[in-house]
Amino acid sequence: MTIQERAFAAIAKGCYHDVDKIQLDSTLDDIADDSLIRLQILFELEEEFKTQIPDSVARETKSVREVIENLTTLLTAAKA
Amino acid sequence: MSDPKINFRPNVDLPVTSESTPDQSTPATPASGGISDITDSLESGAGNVDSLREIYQTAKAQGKLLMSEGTLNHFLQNNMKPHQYPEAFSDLKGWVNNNFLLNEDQHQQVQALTAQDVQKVQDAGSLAAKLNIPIKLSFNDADPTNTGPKAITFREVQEPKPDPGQLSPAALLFGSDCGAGAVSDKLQQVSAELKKQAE
Repeated sequence: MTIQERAFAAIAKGCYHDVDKIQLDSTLDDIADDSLIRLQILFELEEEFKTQIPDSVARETKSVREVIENLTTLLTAAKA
Repeated sequence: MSDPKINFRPNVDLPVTSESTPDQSTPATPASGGISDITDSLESGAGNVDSLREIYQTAKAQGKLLMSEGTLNHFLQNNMKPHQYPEAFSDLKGWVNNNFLLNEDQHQQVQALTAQDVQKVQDAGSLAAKLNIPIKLSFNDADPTNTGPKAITFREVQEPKPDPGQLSPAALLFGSDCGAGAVSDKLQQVSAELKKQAE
């Protein structure tokens, strides 16, 4: 599975949506208008990628596309 | 989306199953787009996020959801079909307990629901099912001066408004808020404008 597919699955799990409802261009507001649910999405992403997403990054992440970009950056940095 | 203001006292999002005891007076902040905005409302930041993470894992392990107004409505609107409301609400307390991880305070509030409260939710659920529109429940504090455990109250169950796809022709012309009075007012307004133009 690609990072995008794994991220989509984690986001879907965190917000109780079907994965096919998650789109790259969706904002997190579109997906979940509740902050607790967005936090659940964060937990699912952290669990899936076995990484801690810094709070500063999480706060600035507004869209699914940014989630993927930030995760890719974090995972690349962790490998280096 | 329907919004039958079924008022519920504000809940606290952190169930008691965690060993830590988060500040129960801290409500969730309004959504502002970022993933972790809620941390702004948690007094000790990362510590509380860790507690919440732990509680979330507990809820998941039990196949339940964390209870907040947001999660409840998200679940009702995205994970249930309106026709499922009547059956779910037929045993409202059981349904809440089976699907949501509640903290002690929330548990007490659910237990304190009166038959009338339950009936209001059931009526709203039946109406939403009949109209095939999603329901939204609002939590509201029955008595803001009460500092102890507060009863959940359900007030003013309003008739759900239909989704735009289900609007009547009048609603499509005059907007979704188109009770008989609103339509009549609008017609008078249009008529007056036409008269003016004719003059």
